[in-house]
Amino acid sequence: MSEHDNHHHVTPLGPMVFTLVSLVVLTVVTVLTAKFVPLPGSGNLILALVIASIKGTFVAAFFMHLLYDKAVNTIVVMSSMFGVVLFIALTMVDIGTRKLHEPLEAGEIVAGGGAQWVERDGKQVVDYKGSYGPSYDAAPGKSVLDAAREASDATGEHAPDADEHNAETPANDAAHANTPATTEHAEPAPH
Amino acid sequence: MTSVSVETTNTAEPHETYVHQHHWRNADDEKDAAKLGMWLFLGTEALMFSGFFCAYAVFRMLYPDTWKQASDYYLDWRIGGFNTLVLVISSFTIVQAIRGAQLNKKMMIFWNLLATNICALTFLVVKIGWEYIPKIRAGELPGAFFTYGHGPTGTTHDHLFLGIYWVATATHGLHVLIGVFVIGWCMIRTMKGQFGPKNYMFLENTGLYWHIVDVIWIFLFPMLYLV
Repeated sequence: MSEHDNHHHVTPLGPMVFTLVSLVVLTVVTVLTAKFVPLPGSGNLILALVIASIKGTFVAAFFMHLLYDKAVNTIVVMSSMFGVVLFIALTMVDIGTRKLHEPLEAGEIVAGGGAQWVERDGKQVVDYKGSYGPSYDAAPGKSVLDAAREASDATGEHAPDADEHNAETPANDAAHANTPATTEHAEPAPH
Repeated sequence: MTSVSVETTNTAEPHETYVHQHHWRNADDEKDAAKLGMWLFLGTEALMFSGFFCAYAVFRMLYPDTWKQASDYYLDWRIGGFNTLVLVISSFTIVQAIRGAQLNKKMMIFWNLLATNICALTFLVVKIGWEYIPKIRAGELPGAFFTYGHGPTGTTHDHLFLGIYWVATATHGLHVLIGVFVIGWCMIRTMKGQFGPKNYMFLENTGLYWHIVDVIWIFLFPMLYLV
């Protein structure tokens, strides 16, 4: 048993205190550089991420004992980091180079999507125009959900399933029981 | 100790007579395997959070101005910075708890675990009390729940930033909450005298989990609050 005790590792205190102090100092450095040292372009972001990576490496090496452990644990971490970098870097390459091939730019985002409700053959239908979802007038003080509720109350019947229920089912009462509540909810919005 | 008896782990001083599970050659093998398993789990954790970081990268590249303005408008770096320091200190105290086990000092384990949990709860209270609740009141919510009209940019892109903020920090907060319970369990096991120089595997793996929570916050803090 005693030769077993000999190679039982006790975490050294010095490196742990060193790690704690450097983490605190690097946190302060991150805040100071980000808030008071404006760098051109994405300089601040890159600097902050480099400092964060240094901090993460310190935590992994000292606090998480990678430095004192078997190498297999480090290999697991490195494999995982390889996956993370591959995932994010290739996505960024994709987004960053699309403009080189065709003039694809980020469009203005319309609250709730760019599609519109339009009158066609006397019926309200969705004109998607290459977008997803109906478009609502998300005015100040409203969320898209508020706007959707209001639009729903105004026309009364543009949710397709509600439309079908409206025909003659008595279960319709349950749907109507909802209506006052939703109207009440939409009321506080300034108009 | 003529025969391997698992019951000995429940006696008053179990770390003195700790017997590894019978399917391992020795206690070191058992410990190494448990640790490797924990590291594999942490690897998947990093991959899971990389989804949020990837979404952040995509939307930041598409709307760089919105990103900077929304970060300044919606988030207070002092709250994030305070929470960063709290988590860093808690990482140190849980390392001290493991040292306590290695040195066979029961109360050193207990007090350091308690300090870690106090830090964790401080993090959650600050996060929920000073960020989540005011944000919910102001309608600063992700996606379709976002209330328009008071954003800094005058555009409707703010809900993208807030979407990533909410999903990433809430997932991280959930990890902190789980950590509180696991560390609490460690405290109970400490008081039962179940940790000692030969048996602190559970404590060490809890520490590894807690450190990855810290590392993820180390990245989330500057990305969301600062730059």
